[in-house]
Amino acid sequence: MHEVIIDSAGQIRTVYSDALAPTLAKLGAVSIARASMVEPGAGGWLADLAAVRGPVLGPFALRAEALAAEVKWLLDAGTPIPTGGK
Amino acid sequence: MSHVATVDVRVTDLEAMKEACAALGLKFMEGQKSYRFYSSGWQDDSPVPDGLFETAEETARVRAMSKADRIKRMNEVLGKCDHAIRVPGAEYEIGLKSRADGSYSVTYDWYGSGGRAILTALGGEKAPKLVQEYANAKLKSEARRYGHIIESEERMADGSIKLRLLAGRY
Repeated sequence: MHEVIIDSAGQIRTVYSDALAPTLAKLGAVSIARASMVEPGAGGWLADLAAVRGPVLGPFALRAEALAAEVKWLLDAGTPIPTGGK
Repeated sequence: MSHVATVDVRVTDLEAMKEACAALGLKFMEGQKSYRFYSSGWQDDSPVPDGLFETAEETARVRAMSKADRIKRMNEVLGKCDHAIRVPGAEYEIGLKSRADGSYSVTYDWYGSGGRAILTALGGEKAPKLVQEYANAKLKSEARRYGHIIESEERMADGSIKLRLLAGRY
């Protein structure tokens, strides 16, 4: 499932997905920016959401858990636009 | 390792624009070649707006003209369009003018009483409500074309629209 937000100014934002890329390209000029980093750290995998002024999540035993947690956080936070992004 | 994609929406699809107009209670006037604005024409009492001309360079060039040349140039452009939009209760109209890149500019006169109803209906000088409804219609249309299923559409308290899509083939 993918969430796409059209804000009150008409700008679209979504967590990037290859599946939606061709659709988004039909709407206008697309910009893509990194929202998080998933790296091994003390005690397991960490998801660092500093690029969207978010927390560091984890540690998680599995990388896949960290990836899922970061996506959930992004969606729950309304898909914030990364600092330095448009 | 996620990324966020943003899209600065460009108006290119007249069918989606017609849907947007219907959603806002506006009347799309297909093929109407002029739109009503201040009857005395451009008075040069406000800045030349962004987006009226095809390029930022042309906008800057017009802004740098002498007042007399700028008034002449502006009145060559304003009031002419490829399609128009009527807002109930508004004296003036909105013009859609095609650009070389296939998109349309959205232009209207928001100055004074004649344009106030348009300003209110569109949510601001850059017509955010119209762009938002256009984006919603166009996104759903393209999503269906690529085989995605639109699971839900939610109007949020902050004025945004949230669509949930189930990805199909692509």
